Amino acid sequence: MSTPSVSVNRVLKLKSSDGEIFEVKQTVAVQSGVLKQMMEDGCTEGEIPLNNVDSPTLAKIIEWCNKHHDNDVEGRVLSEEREKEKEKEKAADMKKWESEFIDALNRDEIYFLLTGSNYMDIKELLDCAAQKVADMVKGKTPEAIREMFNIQSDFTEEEEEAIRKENQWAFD
Amino acid sequence: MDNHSNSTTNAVSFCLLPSDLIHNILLYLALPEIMGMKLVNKSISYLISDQNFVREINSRSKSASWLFVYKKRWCRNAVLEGFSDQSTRWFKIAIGDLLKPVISPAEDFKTVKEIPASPLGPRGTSSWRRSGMKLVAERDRFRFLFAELVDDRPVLFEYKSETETWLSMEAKENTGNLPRGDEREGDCIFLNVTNRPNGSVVVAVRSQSNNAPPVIIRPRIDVGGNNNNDRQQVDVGFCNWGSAATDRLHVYGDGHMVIIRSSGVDDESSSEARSVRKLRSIEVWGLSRNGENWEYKSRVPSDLMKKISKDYGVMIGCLEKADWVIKIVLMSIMSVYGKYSGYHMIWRPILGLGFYFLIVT
Repeated sequence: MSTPSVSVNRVLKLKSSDGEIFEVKQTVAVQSGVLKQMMEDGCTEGEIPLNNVDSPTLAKIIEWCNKHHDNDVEGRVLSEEREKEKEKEKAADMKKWESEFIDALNRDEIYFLLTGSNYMDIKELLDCAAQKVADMVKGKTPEAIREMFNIQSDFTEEEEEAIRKENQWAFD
Repeated sequence: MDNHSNSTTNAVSFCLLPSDLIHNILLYLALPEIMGMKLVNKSISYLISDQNFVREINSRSKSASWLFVYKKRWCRNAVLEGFSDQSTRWFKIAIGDLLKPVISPAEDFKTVKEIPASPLGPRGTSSWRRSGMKLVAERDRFRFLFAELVDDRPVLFEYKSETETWLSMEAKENTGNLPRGDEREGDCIFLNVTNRPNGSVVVAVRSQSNNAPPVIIRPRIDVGGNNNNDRQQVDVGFCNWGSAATDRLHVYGDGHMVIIRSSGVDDESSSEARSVRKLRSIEVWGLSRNGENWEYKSRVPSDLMKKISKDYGVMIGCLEKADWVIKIVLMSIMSVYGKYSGYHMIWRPILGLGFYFLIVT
């Protein structure tokens, strides 16, 4: 695989599904597997349509990528100049930021972020959003999960009983 | 992103997410939680049953960290409490069905039943008496037996749950009617009536109750080599602080005997130097073919003795034999001096798990 020719000053024009244009530095956009591949293939001239990502979601994705890019750049300098403890502090700060970032989103926004980060192939953001949805499920009964996600059960009583029996060990 | 929350509340549903995303989310859950998700609806249940996903879960489970706590209780209620760092919470995992094939009915009664006092009145169940009692359980019934001297004669008392009555029967001397050696394995129940340093009085009862009278056998102990042995004080089932001269502890059960030998530890700093003992050996003895002697069978290997030979003050033990495996449980007590609480005593198992198994070949 060739290394993409990433320029610090060059920007990509990303077009959301609802037609809004976002300008993103190449050095930031490289966090997206899809955009990175396009850069390698030299297909980043003009507007890049992201048909599965709407503008509010794309704004959030770019906010995430900018934050992580800044952190990485600062990290390279710091790792040469400071002790490991400082790096740990920085990692903890980033963890805190990610937590606040994801906690501020409502359920649908998290879903859109999941699909958006999946579409753009941004693994860290995808993992963070998936972890958040999993945290929402933890410790809840199947009934509570259905209610939270507005899911209708399509099991008959017999089918539900069969699953309970088969996996009895797992139910408190 | 405010416009999302109002206009698209029902536009995106968990179940409408691509399957690989749902899999990705599920992988952040602990296994019992994933199984719980199967009950949410059919599409999620289908995704969880996907073979590739199952393989991925199994692969990740190998590195999952769990802390398990098991409290012994009735088999049907057996629960393993597990803490997973993945979910940072405790799970209760029902394991009754898993234990059924390996737990004998004798270890799990479906009901707690209070039986009437025996014809002799209430009896103690202290450690030294346990080798004289036996509970024989089948699926929906049980027999409880104990033997005791009445007017210097061994008498068997038996309670049957089927009839809810006590029966008593005087044991007869062994006149060659005791099944020999291996023939009696599984066919006889042995109840110790008296245990003395040089021998025991044991009552052998047919397992299948057919009104055959119980047989008295009087196995003698010849520990060999040292004539002082007979004069040595022997404790049965329990040796305590008072019997400082005790170097031998006998633990009986199911026609077998374990001899635990200890020696006093010289501790000049203690005024009760002899009350601290150190384990020296553990031997398993069984009845001879004709039942006239206790015969040496095997001993705990010296390497293992080194591992378990810690100082102790008091010890109790019990023994059970089932399916050619002898289970011995030994618990010791040691006084510990606490700066603020003074001396207090702590029971601890001889081995970390409190169980020791010997397989008699």
